[in-house]
Amino acid sequence: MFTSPWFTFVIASVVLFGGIIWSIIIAKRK
Amino acid sequence: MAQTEKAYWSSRTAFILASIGSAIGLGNVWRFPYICYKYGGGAFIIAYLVSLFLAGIPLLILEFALGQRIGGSAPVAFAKLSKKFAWIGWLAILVGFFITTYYAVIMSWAANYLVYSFKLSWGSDPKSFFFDKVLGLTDSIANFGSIQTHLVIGLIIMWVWIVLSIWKGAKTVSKVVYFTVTIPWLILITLVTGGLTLPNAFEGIKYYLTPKWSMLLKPQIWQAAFTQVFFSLSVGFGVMIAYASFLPPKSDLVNNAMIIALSDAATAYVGGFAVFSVLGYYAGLQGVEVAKVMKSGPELAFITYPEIINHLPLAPLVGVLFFLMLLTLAIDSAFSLVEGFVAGVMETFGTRRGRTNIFVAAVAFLIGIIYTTGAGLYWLDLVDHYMTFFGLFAVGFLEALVVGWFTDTEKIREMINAHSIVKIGKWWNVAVKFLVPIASIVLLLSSVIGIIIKPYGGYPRWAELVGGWLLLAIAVILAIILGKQTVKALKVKSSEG
Repeated sequence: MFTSPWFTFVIASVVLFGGIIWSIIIAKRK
Repeated sequence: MAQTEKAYWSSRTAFILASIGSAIGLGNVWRFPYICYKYGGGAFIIAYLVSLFLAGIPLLILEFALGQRIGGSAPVAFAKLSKKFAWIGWLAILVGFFITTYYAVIMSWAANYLVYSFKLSWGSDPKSFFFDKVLGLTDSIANFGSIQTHLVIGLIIMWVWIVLSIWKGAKTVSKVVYFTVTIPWLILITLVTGGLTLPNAFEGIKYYLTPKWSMLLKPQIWQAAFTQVFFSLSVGFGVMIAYASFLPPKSDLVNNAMIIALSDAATAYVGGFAVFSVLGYYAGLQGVEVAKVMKSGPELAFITYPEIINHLPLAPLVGVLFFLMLLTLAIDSAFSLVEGFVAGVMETFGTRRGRTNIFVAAVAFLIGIIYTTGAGLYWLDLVDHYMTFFGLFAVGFLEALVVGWFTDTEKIREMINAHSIVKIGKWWNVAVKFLVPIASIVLLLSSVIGIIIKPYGGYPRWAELVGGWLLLAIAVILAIILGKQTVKALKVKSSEG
């Protein structure tokens, strides 16, 4: 699993797009 | 100091888009995927994300704080920290200025290729077309050959575009970025979608994402990851300092930095899909490994990509979209570098914006003509190496050193946290005091040692002296002289106030 390209895909997508969406939600709450 | 017209961002979204636009550039598409492939695929992406959180985001927050909380363009912000630091601000924006002189030439190449795309003018031999027809490349760096008229025309158009984009500073940029940031993203998504539907596209993606974890134990991967983070975020050029100075006082700097840094990284990540999907397809056509067709930089954009475009359905349309994407990716970075410099000049000399814009653009254009000659590519390559590897790392090191060790870091952290929803902890002090300076000085020293052992790109030593060390020395001397001028201007202003 750890050597599969899917592993990188999931980690990078969650960190990057999850991080952006989370930051935008936080900003909207202000 | 005379009064200058200070403009603010029309909205928070405008500031975020402008900063994202500045950070996202050609490197996201033509450098990140190659570095990723070279340093362990998915393992590099993880190293990149770690470097981003450890050094990139703290440095970005630092630059925002300098611009917005301390106030002013890079020279003024540093002068306010201490009179003796004003030159560091000037060094940052001078490095940015020198970069713009050739960055606009690369944009001119892309503009020419945008026109060539309609008829696929590069034909069946894009390599000869690029080197011989477009660049008129000579046999050595000493042989300037002739000025390429089509590149000069392109360069003029690019400079007019840049000047118009920053004509009234943040006020104009606030409008422009809604187009120049969203258009390349829309095109990128279109290219990725189209690319993934090609035969063998997933073979390319496998090269991109399959992690080689053993690479994480090698120092080179971390060096490459930190370098890419520094390159990509537009930190160290005074741009983010100038942009943040146009923010209203109660802005959330931490949240802004997170959105901007992650959006920049996400663009590079998605850019990798656009590049590797078509490389997978092309490798399949040639019956070779993806590694055999992998290229980076101008070679990827102006030779490999046109070659691949020849084999794609709706080839002219793909060409137009690809080169329009490159142009719109580059324009925000270009005008942000110019804006950072213009803001410094205006605040130091009290000059009017319109005249300053035109003067800066005219000087940069004249310098840029060197890169439109037959030896232009060689000089561009050489100057780029010195400006980015030495200029960027030196400024990053000096910035963190000054804030980390010669100012009250804790007070700056409290100022940043005053209006931020997510507060930054004391880890930020550690990053600014230790991590960023150590990372940048290691990168700087390893680059210097590398150059001493072996001349960069095999260029003769005299060329390195002129295009590298002399230019850096000019930047440092000018920075010291202009730094004194900024301090004088601030004194006059405070005595008037």
